[in-house]
Order: sequence, then C-alpha cells, then structure tokens
Amino acid sequence: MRRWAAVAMSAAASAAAGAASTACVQPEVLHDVSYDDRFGAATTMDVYLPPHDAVGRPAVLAVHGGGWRLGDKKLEEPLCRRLARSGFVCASINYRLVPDGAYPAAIQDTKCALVFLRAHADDYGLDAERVAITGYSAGGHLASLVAVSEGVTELEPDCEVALTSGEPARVAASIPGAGVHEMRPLSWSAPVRDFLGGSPDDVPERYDLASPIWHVAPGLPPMLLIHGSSDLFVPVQQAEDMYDAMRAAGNDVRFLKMTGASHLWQPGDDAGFWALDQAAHNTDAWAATIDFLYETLGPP
Amino acid sequence: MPAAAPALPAPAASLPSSLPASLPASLPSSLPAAAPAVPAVPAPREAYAMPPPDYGPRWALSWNPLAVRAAALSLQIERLVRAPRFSAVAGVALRAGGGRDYRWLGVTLAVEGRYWFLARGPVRHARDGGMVGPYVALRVEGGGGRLRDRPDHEVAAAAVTFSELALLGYRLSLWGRAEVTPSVGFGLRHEVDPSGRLASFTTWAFAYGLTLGWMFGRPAGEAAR
Repeated sequence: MRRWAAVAMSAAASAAAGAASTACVQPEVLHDVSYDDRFGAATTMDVYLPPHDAVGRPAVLAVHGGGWRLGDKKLEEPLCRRLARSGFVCASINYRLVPDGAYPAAIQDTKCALVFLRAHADDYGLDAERVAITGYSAGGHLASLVAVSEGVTELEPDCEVALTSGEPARVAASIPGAGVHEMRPLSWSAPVRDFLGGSPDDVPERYDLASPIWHVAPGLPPMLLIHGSSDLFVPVQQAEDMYDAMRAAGNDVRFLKMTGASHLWQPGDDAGFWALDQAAHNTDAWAATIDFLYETLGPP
Repeated sequence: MPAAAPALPAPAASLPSSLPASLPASLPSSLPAAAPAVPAVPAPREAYAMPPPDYGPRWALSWNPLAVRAAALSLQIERLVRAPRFSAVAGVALRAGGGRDYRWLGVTLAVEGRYWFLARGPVRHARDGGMVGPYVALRVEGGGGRLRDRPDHEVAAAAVTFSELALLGYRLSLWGRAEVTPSVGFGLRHEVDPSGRLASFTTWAFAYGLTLGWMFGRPAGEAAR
C-alpha cells in the first residue's frame, strides 16, 4: 500500500506540475473582433495570439457546433487556447444562427471570417497562405464546406471585407470533426431542415450546394476527417463517404475513425471512465491534429 | 435449576465498576435466586469479547464493460485494506483505438482509494459487508499512447496523460460475491505532448464508469480469527 500511495502521489505531483506550467504561459486574446459590422455580435470572433510576438505564423479558424442554431465562439476556447500556446494564431468565430443564419448565411459568415483573417494577416502576425479551418458537428460541416467550395458563387461571402480586400476564401487545410458532409441522408432531422429551409423536395438545390461531398473535385486542400465510430447524431458513414470521395478525386485526405467515440460522450484515457466532450478533444484526436497541422501548414 | 447456575456468566465480574450499585435490582426477575450466591469467578476476557465482525470478501477483481466499446481492456483489483471502511484499487487499461489511416495504442495505470459509507448493502447477507454499498473515492490515472500513421506505420504523435477524479459510486453485491459497481464523478485531466509540438493541456472532465466483478478471499473477520 505504501508503494501504491507513493506512485499515486508522484503522479499527482506530475499532473500538478503540468497544470502549473499550463497556467504560466497564456495567449493574448482579442475578444469580440467584428468581421462584419452588419450583424453585431453574431459576426464577431475571438482571436488568440501566441504568447511571443512573431510574424508569418500558421493560423487556425475554429467554427463551433450546435446544429446551426445553438452555440457560441466560447465553445472552441479550449482548442484555441491550446493551439495558441503551441504557436498557432487561432480565431474562434460566431456566425449567424437559425433562423437568421439559415442557408446560406452561416456559410457566408464563415467565409467572411476567413477572408477577414487573411486580410488582417499582418495585424495578427500570421501567414495568409497558412490558414487551416476546423470545426465540430455543424461547425465541422461549415469547415468542410468552406474548404471545398472556394469560388462557388452561391456561397461566396458578401461582407465588405470580402468585396474590398481581394482575399480569397481559401484555406491551406481543413479538419472537420464529426461534420455533416452530405445533407440528404440527414434530411429527416429538424436542424437540417431548419437550416436549409425545407425538405429535399422543397429545396433540392440547397441540399446539393450545402453538401461538401457535392463539391469534391481534384486539387482541394488536404483534409483530416475526425469522427467517432459510435456517433448517433452524425453517423460515421458521413465521414466514410467523404473520405472515399476525396480519395477518388485524388486529394490528400486522412481519416481518424475513433473507435467507440460518440458525438459528445468519449472514452477516457483508460476507457473505463467516459467523459462529456467533443471527440475532437480526445487524446488521439489531438495527436492526429497536431501532426496534420505540422505537415500541412508547417511548424509555427 | 441449581445445576444451571454455574453455566451462567458472572455479570458482576464483567460489568464496569462505574455502574450503580443498584444494578442487581434491575436484573430480570427470572434469574434463579441462587445466582447471586455463585462465587464470582473471574473469567477470561476473551469469553466476553464480541466475535470479529464478518466484513465480506477482502478482494475484488473487476472488469469494465464500457471499455469494450472503445476497443479497450480495463481491469482492476481491489483490496479491503482497513475493514470495513477503506479499500484500495489498482487498475490497468490497454486501448487500441483509431481506425482507417491511424492506429492508437495506449496504456493507463490507475490507483484509487475508496471510503465505504455503510460498508453494507441494502439487503443484509451473511457475508454482506465491507466493500458494498455507497462509496466515495479519489482516483489518479497516468498513462501514455502513440498514434501511428497506418500507411507508413510511423509514430505520428504521442501523448502522456494524467487525471485526478473524485468519484461517487455504489456497489451492488449479488450472492455476496458478484459485484456491479456504477460510479460518476468529475476531475481534472492533463495532457502532455512529449515532442513539445503541442502545449500541455488541462481540462475538467465529467465521467462515469461501470464495473462488473467477482469478490473473493476469506472474509476479513474470518481471517482475523
């Protein structure tokens, strides 16, 4: 027993040391930066800057989930804080939610935020050509769609910065987590119908244009798909199909299919205890994410 | 009746001296009249001590069925270290997760101290005591894992994790041996990237768990006899 106690105390001390080091170096946070003045707080972002000044850093745009009708940029704060402390500029965005954010508003807002970030690259010390996009659930859908739909007229942003800056809504990589990639199989769900404004019979063109898989073509930026195998909200088949489509088109795509993980209940490190969190925050998802970012954006 | 008198215990000899002198008057009237006349023979103290209580099995070997969903094997062994309230748990888990382009292999070790509120279940069983009923626990976990890129089989990334959890659980004992133990809790989780590419990370976690197991070993009370 004494030996067990010693091991436990040692582990706790190590953990406490880790927590202390976490608390020491915090990123600078610019709260509520407006990327489109027309819609107030609905179109703002929090920008997390790495602790040490630098220029030309890689950046990540984070898009929260919530079925296109709930949620806030605070949901992606843990992700942004960790990425910023790892040397990446990270921006977590608000976008218009249903009903105001019904198709195509939320997509246009996300693209507008991306253009804004690229246009202010010098202000935030980032490299506009090294910007990735990530998101979870509905945010995963928006991240995936933005990554594959550059230049699609119906989805292009109409905000001032997009019209005046000349920056494209282009990313260097994308990491959709538990994202919807094809709308029609989920047309039974109220959030999808509310977001698109009807059933596939009512608005068939919206179901096509809002489905990332519909836009897959050769030459798209690298994509890392993260999805729990037991996701009941967004079935893993969505990611399977997107993966196959991206590969068939010759794109660089990887897929971390997380055994047993669901949409919001995740196995803990010992898998004996399950935790309430996003699958994209699991240890193995973080490992895949940082490896992918280093490979596609380069080191900070 | 006189023959029965020597078999009676000598209450006066074992009673504390602080008892009131009038106590014999309160003794049951059915006592034989000859009883007070029996000489008070000092008896060995052991003759009056209560037998050691039966606290049920001292060991439990448990398996976590929830881990199967995550392609993991999670086992733990528990010992009643200070009957009937305190037990200690040691656990190990192996997880082989990931799929398609990645493979994750991780191992986690855990220690846990439990305090049993009642040390008995809702239905008293002959051996129902000790590690049954409600408990609170503190659990510390430490582990690590590697993510391999499946096409190249190269290590893409690694992580070291620590967690501390405060848990509230309830063990239901079946036939005094089988056990079902659900628990819920919350705690802190820390994650460190040994390569230094990713900053360390601390987050709150709400957790729940479930074990099925078998309790074994001689009951604590029996072992003490």
